[in-house]
Amino acid sequence: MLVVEEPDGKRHEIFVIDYHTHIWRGDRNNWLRPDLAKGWIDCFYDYHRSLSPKEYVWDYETFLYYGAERFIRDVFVDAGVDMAISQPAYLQYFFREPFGNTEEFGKMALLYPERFIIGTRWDPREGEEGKRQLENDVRRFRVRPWQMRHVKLYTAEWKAIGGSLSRGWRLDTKEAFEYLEYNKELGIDIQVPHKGPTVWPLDKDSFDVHDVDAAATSFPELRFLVTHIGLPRYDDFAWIAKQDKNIYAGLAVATAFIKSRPRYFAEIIANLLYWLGPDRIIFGSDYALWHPKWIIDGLIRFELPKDIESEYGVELSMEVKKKILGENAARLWGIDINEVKKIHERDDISTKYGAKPRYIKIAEK
Amino acid sequence: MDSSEIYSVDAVYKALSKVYDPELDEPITRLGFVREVKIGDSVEVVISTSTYWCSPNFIYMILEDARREISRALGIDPKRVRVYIRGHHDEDRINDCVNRGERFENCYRSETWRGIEDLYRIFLEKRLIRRLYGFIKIATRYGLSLQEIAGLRRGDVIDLEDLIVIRSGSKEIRVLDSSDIAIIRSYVSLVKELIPAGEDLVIGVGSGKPIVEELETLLRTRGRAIDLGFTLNSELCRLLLESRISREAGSL
Repeated sequence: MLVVEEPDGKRHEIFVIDYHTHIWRGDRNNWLRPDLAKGWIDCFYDYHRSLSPKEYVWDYETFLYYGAERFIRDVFVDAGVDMAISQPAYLQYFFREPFGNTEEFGKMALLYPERFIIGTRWDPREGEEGKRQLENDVRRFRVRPWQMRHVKLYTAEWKAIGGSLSRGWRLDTKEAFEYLEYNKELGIDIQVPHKGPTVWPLDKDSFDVHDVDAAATSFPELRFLVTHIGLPRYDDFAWIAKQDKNIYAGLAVATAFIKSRPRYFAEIIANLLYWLGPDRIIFGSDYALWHPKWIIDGLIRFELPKDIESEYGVELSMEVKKKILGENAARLWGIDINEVKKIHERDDISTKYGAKPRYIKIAEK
Repeated sequence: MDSSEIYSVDAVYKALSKVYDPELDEPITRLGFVREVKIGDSVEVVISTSTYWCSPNFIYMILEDARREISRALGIDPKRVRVYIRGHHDEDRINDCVNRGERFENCYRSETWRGIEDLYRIFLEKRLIRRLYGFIKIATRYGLSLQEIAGLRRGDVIDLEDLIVIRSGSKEIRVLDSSDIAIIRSYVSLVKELIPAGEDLVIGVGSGKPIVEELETLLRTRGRAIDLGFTLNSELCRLLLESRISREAGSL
């Protein structure tokens, strides 16, 4: 929780939900195909180092695996995040156990269901067996209504099928649509598509988000939270999100520009407010790619430059920031903020770990 | 005569400066992708990109373009130009195929439906729209209306090295700012490359609506989003490459 005081003395209580967090398993013991696994975590590390402020850069070993304890301290205690949502990519062609570490996050979700929100993933190439697994996951973790409401859909996942390599899948296929149908039955109504560098077939643009458009149009009752605002295809994302009102913008990666490239961040936010309005933009840090504390602080203090504000005709008020930081995600996941706040006041994360509302005073300019 | 006297490293770099990363609309030389240029009996170029994971199809386009531009600029058989990607998850296959002159769809026979020409065209169109957007923004800033911009002919833009003059009716605009000049020049050169014989300056926006309306929409919506997308991609790419190079130098 944040308590923000504006220069005129006005106070805001801001409830923070981070839609994109991980407790990954990038440790060497877990590298199944070492070149690929190392290539994966090294790329993450480059993202981490290139956009984090110096004081937030970790050493490589810590970055490989940091575990739940560190997660709690960083995300809930230091950054003041109230609820954290997992977005697991399994990457089982690269890693022995799922990189997206549902096991460890799941334990936390069972222990602290008002803090850790777990989702799962599916892959249409897994057929009926995958559906059974999905059903089991829902049965096991749906301990609160907002648990297991979402799936991360990483379409660039590699998979060995009958001795050959399949490098991804698309959301607009018959098999994927069957899974989307099945999601409806299981009450998984939030899909979190995430594009990556490969997809079948290889002559197509693997980052293209038009398959999300097809799925979102065909399943208007489902919501699609596109990670990384569709980057590196922001323009296509903006276009489909304008048309499909059930598409949401996940800010992970985009928020990391806030400190070192504030002008770009201003353009991003103004663009999103112009195309989607303030109710479909969702805050995410992608922890541990980036620590949420500096991003949240940056966002609270962020002001759109006047020229951008007037060019786009939008404003980033504290009310809008409040929506982005928590209210929009709460509405999506069906979380009653007031109810959960009461539970947080006396839970272990507050009493044992010492999480408390974080006070931020905005200085006069 | 020793072959290194015929082909200079500068000439190779100059040829490579015409090779664009299709997703970023920037030449690979400016992005820092060119790691090595070796000149012997053949010309060898090594490039690395920002991540181990760059899409094979875009890498393929870059390497094919590099090979073609070098062989064209130096006037040598493509067989004597070897281009390599290093630090990529599929480098063995890509390097082998590209340097044999294999087409993408044959190299990845079991994983493709067809070639990458369509993909190439999609990104060329995006680059055109991005540059047109930049041109319109500048021209309106200097006082031209969209109606006037829509009526411009190629001959109305006069490039005088440190100065670009744009003539529209009785108006004459003088552009002195170097970044404005670079944007206008990049748009005009792409127009000429795509349609060498035409006279119209504004191309790529023909969906049937009046052109002024098209330009207005482009300015407020698609063009602005495409421009932002390219800008963010380039910036991320540059940052990641910098981090990657320093990490690999420290061999983490």
